[in-house]
Amino acid sequence: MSMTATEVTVKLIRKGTTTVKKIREVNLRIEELLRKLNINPVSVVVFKNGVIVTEDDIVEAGDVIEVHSASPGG
Amino acid sequence: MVICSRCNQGRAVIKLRSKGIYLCEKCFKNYFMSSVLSALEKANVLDSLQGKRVLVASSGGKDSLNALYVMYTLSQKYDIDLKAILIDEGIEGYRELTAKAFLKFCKTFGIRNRIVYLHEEFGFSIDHVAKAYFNGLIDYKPCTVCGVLKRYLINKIAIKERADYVVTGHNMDDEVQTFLINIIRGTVRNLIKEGVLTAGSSGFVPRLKPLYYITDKESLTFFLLNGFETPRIECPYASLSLRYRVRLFLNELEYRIPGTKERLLKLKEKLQISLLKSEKRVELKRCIICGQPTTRKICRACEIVLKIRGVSNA
Repeated sequence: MSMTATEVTVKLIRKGTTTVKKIREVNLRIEELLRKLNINPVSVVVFKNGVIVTEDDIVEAGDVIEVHSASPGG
Repeated sequence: MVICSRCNQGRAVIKLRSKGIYLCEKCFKNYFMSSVLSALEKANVLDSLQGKRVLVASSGGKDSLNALYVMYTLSQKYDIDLKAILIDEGIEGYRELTAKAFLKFCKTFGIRNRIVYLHEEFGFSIDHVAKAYFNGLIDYKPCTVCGVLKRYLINKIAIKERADYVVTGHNMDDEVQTFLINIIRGTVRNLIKEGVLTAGSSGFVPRLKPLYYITDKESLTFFLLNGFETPRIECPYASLSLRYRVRLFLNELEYRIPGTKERLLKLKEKLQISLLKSEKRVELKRCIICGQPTTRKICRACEIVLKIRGVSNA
């Protein structure tokens, strides 16, 4: 039985932990996705299916998104 | 897929919002390195690196490892005598993890290195300081103590190593945050000497910040594109600092009004020029305890250490 993906997997990598969320909204820009998750695009780097993309790339059903935060420290 | 604005071929990996352009991996890495080189040129350092002793102070985080990589790359061209140090201030569950990343990084590139422990030098760790602060025994926040004592120790080690420069991983975000913090505290005069190169006066080794024109996001992008690794963790005391709130505020402003950080950095540089004109020459003395240069009788580092030791011994 074949299944059509209808959601996006988002992995939030920050403060030493990875949180996984499933998002039903698709065909939106990475920037819009981030703002829906209350994340500022200025402070993160995003991978889409294993490659780094810009906030203007489009998220499609079945995509795996990884959001890497620029942690403060020193 | 978004295409690179420079080569019109590669898939873009970053949008430089303040410039309104997209860059692919190759063009971004070129942009990153040329920003670093132009910072060093602006500070008149690039041509004088030949044969110099450079000590990179790393935390094992993305910025200072990027700075170490940059200096490693330059060391191949300029015959730099390169060494890296990490100050382990004793923050359990945090520093030992980034220290591992630091050691792994140095091993990969064959960089001589050393880890220095704060408690061996002063007899206490930052966890100890934090405990005293939370128990109301001292007024100093752990971040204040950490900043002052690490700076002190790095300078002391640099003198001992006869380093010509100390390199740190401070980036544009750090510089603009410091600018705003000094405005908030009414201490803008502290900014007079802070730049790509902080010239060393007697007893202070000059400090160099190659990532001065690189944003936090650019630094993380460069780090990840190069496949470098460090645990993505945050200092457990970071949220206690004013810097933490200023950082969030500036990032939100940068998102709403792209270019805010660059403009603030330029404003800081203009302000420095006018502050320098009106600066009164301050004679440096020697701290009566440690002998390091200071404007006071006892330097700030020794003042803090005495206070903390006093609480510990009580």
